[in-house]
Amino acid sequence: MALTKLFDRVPPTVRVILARWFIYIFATLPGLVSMQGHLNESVGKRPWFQGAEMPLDILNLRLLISELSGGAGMLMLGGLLAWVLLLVWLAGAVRVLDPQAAADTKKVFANGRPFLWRYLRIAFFALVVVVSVHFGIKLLFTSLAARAELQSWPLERTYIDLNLWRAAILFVLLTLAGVFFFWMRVMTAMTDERKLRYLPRRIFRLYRKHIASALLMQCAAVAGVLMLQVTALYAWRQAGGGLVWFMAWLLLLLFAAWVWQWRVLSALRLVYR
Amino acid sequence: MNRLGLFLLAACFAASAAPLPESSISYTIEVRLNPETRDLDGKESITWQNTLDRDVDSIPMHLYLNAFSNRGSSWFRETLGERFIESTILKRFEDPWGWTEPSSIRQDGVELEWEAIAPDDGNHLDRSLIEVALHQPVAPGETVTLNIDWKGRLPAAAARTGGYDRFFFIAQWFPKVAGVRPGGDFNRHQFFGPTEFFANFANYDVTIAIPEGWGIASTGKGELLRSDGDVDWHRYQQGSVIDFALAVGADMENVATTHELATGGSVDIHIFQPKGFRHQVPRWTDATARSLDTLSTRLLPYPYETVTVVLPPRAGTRAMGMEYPTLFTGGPGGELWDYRIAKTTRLNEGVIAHEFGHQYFNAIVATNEFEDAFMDEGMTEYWTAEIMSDNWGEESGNGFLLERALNVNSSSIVAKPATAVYPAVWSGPSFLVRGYSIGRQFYDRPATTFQTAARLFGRDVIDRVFSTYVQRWQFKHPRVEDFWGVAEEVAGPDVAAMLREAYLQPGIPDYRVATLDVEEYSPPPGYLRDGDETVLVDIDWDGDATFGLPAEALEEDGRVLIEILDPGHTRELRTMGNIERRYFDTVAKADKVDGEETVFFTSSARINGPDWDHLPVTVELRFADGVVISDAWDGKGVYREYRTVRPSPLESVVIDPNYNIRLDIVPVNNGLSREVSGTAPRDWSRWVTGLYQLFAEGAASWL
Repeated sequence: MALTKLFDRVPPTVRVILARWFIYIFATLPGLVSMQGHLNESVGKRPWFQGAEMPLDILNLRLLISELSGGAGMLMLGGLLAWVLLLVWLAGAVRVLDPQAAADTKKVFANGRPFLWRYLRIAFFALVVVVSVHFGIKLLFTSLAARAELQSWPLERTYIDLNLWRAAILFVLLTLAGVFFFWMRVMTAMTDERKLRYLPRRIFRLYRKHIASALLMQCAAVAGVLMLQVTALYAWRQAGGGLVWFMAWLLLLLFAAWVWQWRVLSALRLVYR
Repeated sequence: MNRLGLFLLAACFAASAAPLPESSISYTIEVRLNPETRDLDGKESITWQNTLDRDVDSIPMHLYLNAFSNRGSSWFRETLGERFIESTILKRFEDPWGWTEPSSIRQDGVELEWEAIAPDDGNHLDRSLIEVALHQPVAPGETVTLNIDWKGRLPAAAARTGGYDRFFFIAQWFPKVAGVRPGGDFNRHQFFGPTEFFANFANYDVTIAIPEGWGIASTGKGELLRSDGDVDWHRYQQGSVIDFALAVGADMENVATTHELATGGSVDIHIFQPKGFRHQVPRWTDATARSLDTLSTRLLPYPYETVTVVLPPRAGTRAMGMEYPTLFTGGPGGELWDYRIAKTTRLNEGVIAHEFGHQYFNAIVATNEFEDAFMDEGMTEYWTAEIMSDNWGEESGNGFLLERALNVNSSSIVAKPATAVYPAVWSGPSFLVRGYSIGRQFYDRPATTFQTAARLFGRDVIDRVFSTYVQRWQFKHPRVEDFWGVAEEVAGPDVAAMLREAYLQPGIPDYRVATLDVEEYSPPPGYLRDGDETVLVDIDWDGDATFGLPAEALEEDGRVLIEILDPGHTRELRTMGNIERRYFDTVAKADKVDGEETVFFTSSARINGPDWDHLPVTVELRFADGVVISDAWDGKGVYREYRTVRPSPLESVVIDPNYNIRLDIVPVNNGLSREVSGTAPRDWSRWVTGLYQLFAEGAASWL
């Protein structure tokens, strides 16, 4: 009872942040347990790995990584589940944080559930865009690679710079598309609009008026969180692991949840400005 | 001079390079390269001595560049699916094709006739081999001179020859007489993708015209003859080599350094690479010098006066990693090696060591690459690892990538047993080996065979085998039987038998621990005799927990009793298996714990083996009390079981703890522990979960 009262007193912003954090933890927990069980039976019981120094050298890294695929099934499902729950969460977060929404601010997921189907439709369009962008970029860089060979571009430019540019351009385009679909979802939840085709015009109008806060800041937030996570995972692996890194990673997920909450609040403020 | 001094002097003379042998063939070639069209315009005079024991009325000749003349050639037809990178050539170049055609072949001024032949596959589109009908037959021991006018075109750099733009690697470029197998016939084979070349030793005198001011590197030693308008004429010569290759480029430079060999004498090391990267030359020169010294010391003093390393620019990257006599291509030249990630690796040093190793097995010993590719590639791969390990250590011989050590042998070790079917290494001809198995068959399996032999019989023993083989068979084109003969003579029948078996057995041997079971000892239910009495032990027995325990389990004499179940094996005859009760002295003694009631454990383990005759292993049974039992298993049989009752449970079983059997490329499954240990499972499962959380974050951000 006391716990329920305590929970009731949690502000909506904190509630939204914690809800997103818990999605990550609980959706991927079965995968984590399954993966650890798999690795216990494979890597954990092989004396070959017991003498290996951390961080692992390239040989042992390769041998260990080939063991990972066997235990990744549950994690893939967990990742998929997390993504679906994050859609529900986003709709719920918009409703809970929207001062004009007549919503029960204590129930993030209950508020978000009615929007899942519409969000999945948006995801389908997003998928089409992502695949098209991917193939467009591939076409462009295949032709650049051919030109690099025919015109004898330096090796570094051919094999390193071109690939870095390819990754960077893909990342930017996907982020731009991602922010657009984020706005689609925010608008959908705010307006409860069922005909999604009317939304893009409103979003582009918003972009025209507030290019910095509607587009650039949102892109920076997405890119910042993803880059931070990639960097953290890389550093974690290079450092050889440990509980401290795991805890740091969990804190980073919490930070990502805070950034998303900020994105939703910022979007709402912009619309109501 | 004292006796020691005389001995050292004699040893120096014995170790320094001997003069090159006489060759029965000579080529004099004059050729002009047109870089705009990639065309070659050549005149060639071949003096060929008949070393066969019969009259020769026709001579087969290779026109290797015709492998690149059309999509239906045997090289293209058999290769494209496997070397997919070649398919990009067709997409990227309007006219990538290469070809050679003689316009005239004369013997004593008489025009000869020739025709394309395809003895291997009957392919009418393949013109990589022709048969030239002689005007007059050549008797054994006699010589014939053929004068050839020919034209050709280099392909847009493909499969280690050709070029475009401002760099050309000129290899397999001239009409060449097919090699004669010792005691056999002509090596009449077309050119196929999976394998390389074979030829007899010859003296070469090559004059080439290239654009003025272009850099040049070549087999042998040479000089700039003259500048003729906008063309430079260079002449290069080399005796007793099986081939002749050149590299030319507008933006290339040739930097030479004289290296004093560890065995005496000197060799000029040429580094031919893009201009502007002189600061890298000491690094590549050092790698070449180390390779020279290692193989000169352990095999045979390098017999030639020069060695040239070509590090191609972008336009020649498809010529990377290929060996020719006294000249080979390494990795790419230029800025890549200044890049932070690549700088800390020794991958290019590894390529240089490998291609230099070919100087011995492809160029000096000169085995038949068409039929026995595993000999040259396999031995070279073994010596590559030896060069790298000798000079930089096995663990990080290939340098560091992202601050992680690159093991010299890391490419041959895998995590899971092969699902592919591998024929015996000795299977042939090599050009029939396809796709997935080329690397394993030609490189890894022979190389790991020698690594295993070196660990089982001693590195010195295998060094003696190789040095005798190279010294005895230099310039003679040996077959694998000749190598086995040397092994038997120098190292004894056991070494020869082990090497032979590794080449004759299909599949890749894999030792593995299949099961490890431990349970607390309790008397077996039923009627047991206790002195003069019979006692009924029921399944809820709560009496003496050690009742019925074998007396040996108490280990009062300090020895451990192990039951070994051997199922036997069959060859021509059947060798019966048995259950052997063997007493072992322990390698490590038990950690005694006083004051605790002794609990006994029944432990058993089953290991699987390849059932080879010459691949013995050590099996270690490690118990929780620190006792280690070491059993020598001859490896005959597909499995073996160990059972014991001891006051301590079996903690782990490890086959081949020092990883001597390098032929077993899946060492991970050589051991099994009862309990999980180490932090890797927990740490990695968390990290991979983080990775999937990142994927979910990415999906939520973009979709």
